Amino acid sequence: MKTSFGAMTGRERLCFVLKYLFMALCVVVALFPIIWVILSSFKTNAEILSNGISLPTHFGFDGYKSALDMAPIFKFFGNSVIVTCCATVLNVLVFAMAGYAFARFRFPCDKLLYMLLSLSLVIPMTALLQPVYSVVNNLGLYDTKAGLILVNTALNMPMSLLILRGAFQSIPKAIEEAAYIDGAGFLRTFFQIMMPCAKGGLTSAAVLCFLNTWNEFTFSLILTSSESARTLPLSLSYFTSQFSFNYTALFAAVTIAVIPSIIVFAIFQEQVVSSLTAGSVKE
Amino acid sequence: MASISLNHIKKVYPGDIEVISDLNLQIKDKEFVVLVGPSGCGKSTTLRMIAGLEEISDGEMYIGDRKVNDVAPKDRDIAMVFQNYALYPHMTVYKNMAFALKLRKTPKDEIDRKVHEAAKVLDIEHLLNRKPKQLSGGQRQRVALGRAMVRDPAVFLLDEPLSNLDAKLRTQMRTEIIKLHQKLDTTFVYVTHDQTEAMTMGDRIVVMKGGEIQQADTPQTLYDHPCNLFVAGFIGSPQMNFMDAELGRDADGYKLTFADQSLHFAGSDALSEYVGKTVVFGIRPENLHTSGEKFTQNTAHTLTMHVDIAELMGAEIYAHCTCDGTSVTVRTPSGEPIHAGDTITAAVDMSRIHLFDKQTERAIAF
Repeated sequence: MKTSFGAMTGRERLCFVLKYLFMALCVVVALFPIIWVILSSFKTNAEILSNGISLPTHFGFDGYKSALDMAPIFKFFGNSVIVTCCATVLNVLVFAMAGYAFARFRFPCDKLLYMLLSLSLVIPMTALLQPVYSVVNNLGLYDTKAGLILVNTALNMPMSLLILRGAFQSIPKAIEEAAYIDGAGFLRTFFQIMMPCAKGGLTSAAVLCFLNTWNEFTFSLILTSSESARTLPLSLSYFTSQFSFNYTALFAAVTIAVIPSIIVFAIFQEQVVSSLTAGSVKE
Repeated sequence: MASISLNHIKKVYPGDIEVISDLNLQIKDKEFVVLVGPSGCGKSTTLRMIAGLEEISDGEMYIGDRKVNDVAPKDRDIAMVFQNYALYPHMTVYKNMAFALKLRKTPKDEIDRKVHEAAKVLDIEHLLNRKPKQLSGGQRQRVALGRAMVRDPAVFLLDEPLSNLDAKLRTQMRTEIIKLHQKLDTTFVYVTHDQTEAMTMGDRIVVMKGGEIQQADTPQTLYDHPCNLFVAGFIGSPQMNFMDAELGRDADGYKLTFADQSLHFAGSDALSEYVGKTVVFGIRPENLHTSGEKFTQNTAHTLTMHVDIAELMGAEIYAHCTCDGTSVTVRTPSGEPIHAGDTITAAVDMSRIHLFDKQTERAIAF
């Protein structure tokens, strides 16, 4: 492969330039909205209304101040942290066990069961709203964090199961056999040997579950009614009431809402990508 | 006491797939037994049954005096080395080796002493703080051996432990394992598909095929007196030459007639029932001589053949020839002037010939 631009022929240069233009376009499409929101959160409402894409004349935190005044953002942020962390831990723990069972043990109807569980990946969320609402309500978990935790744990089931089953399948069977011969029982083998071996899969399942739960809006909206259980995405509705448009505050709230997911993804993205493509090439 | 006794062992996988039908094998205490055979012959399954990783469908297995059919792997006092090493990737070499001892609640200072002792024997002391992925194949293999060693098991099981190593390292580790056996003085059961490993390492070799033991004996006996065509072809490299021949009588004994040539030998009365029938004649490449004191011009003991390829191996030449339409390999010292395209006369060491029944493939004693 040629590396220096000068050594390329005209045609290769054209391809090179087009390739980079295309990538630049992709980057702009992906990043522009986020950067626009973050920049706008530092502008005043008047600035936003007069020129949507200008840079802020001075960096002010008024937007953040009014965002915190207008909505109980800290409370919602705390709820989000609790719901997201609990759902993520629960999800990964439960579906690591399920994934291990599906990866290693043959039992009657195992394939059918796995298929049924995976099938929930293709059920549209809107179709789930009513039944989930009824179930949560009847369990007495309406407007509780516990309800949201359980629902989010389950919503992320198909993806976690897919990733974790794959992760356990890719671990050589000899490793757990070695553990059995070394004297470890079933539980010790699972928690002390298999779980650490599946670290990559566990991390990516956890990250995806975290992101989905953190950003989840619809179920939080219908399953909660009070501030005690509502999560951060719902706080955004405080800024779009019928007659007032405080864009600056809205953008500040959006920024507060998206930053954690961006940080989490930025830290773990390599792991997530590699585990999603795991097994596609022989190492 | 760690003798192993397999009595009428049967293994059936789900779906009625019978891989082992009736296996009987007695392994003596401190013996180094090698199970060898082509893939799918049941050798690994047998080893895994000894380890307790596979259930025994029928029959009885004893380790020492204890029946172990239903004993969990951890309670069998065995250690196993796997083909792909099966080291715990998240633990350091030290922790890998100490894991089993820790589970047995061995005191810390004793664990430390044992791990360092084993590491010293295997020359991996400087690697104790590394993770498996930072090690080369040979080093990982040593760690796997070390992990088994620290436990002082009654039985050492090794499942093709050298097959992932390169040729040079394999030869080196082979010697190391032999030394280890001498040092540890415990029972070793070793599985391989490589007949060279089997020949060089085992006190006794068990040749398996299709879930059945073909022959179990010392390497020398297997080499000199294979009980059937399969063992004769499997043991020895390059492998034994086989030619179909018609057995007939002549004035002072018997003769083997090939397409255009024949060989004469004394033989015994045991051969009389094969007279007039086709038998399989077998001769090892080194028992065909093109020069030297065993060479003779006596046409009753020679075969003329056409050299297709002459492979120079350094000290020897493997001449791949065609003799009466059959491929024959001759092994001679490298000084011989043998080239592709030559026609050579090879004297057959008639004291070293083998005859096999064409139908049953069993060796004919004569």
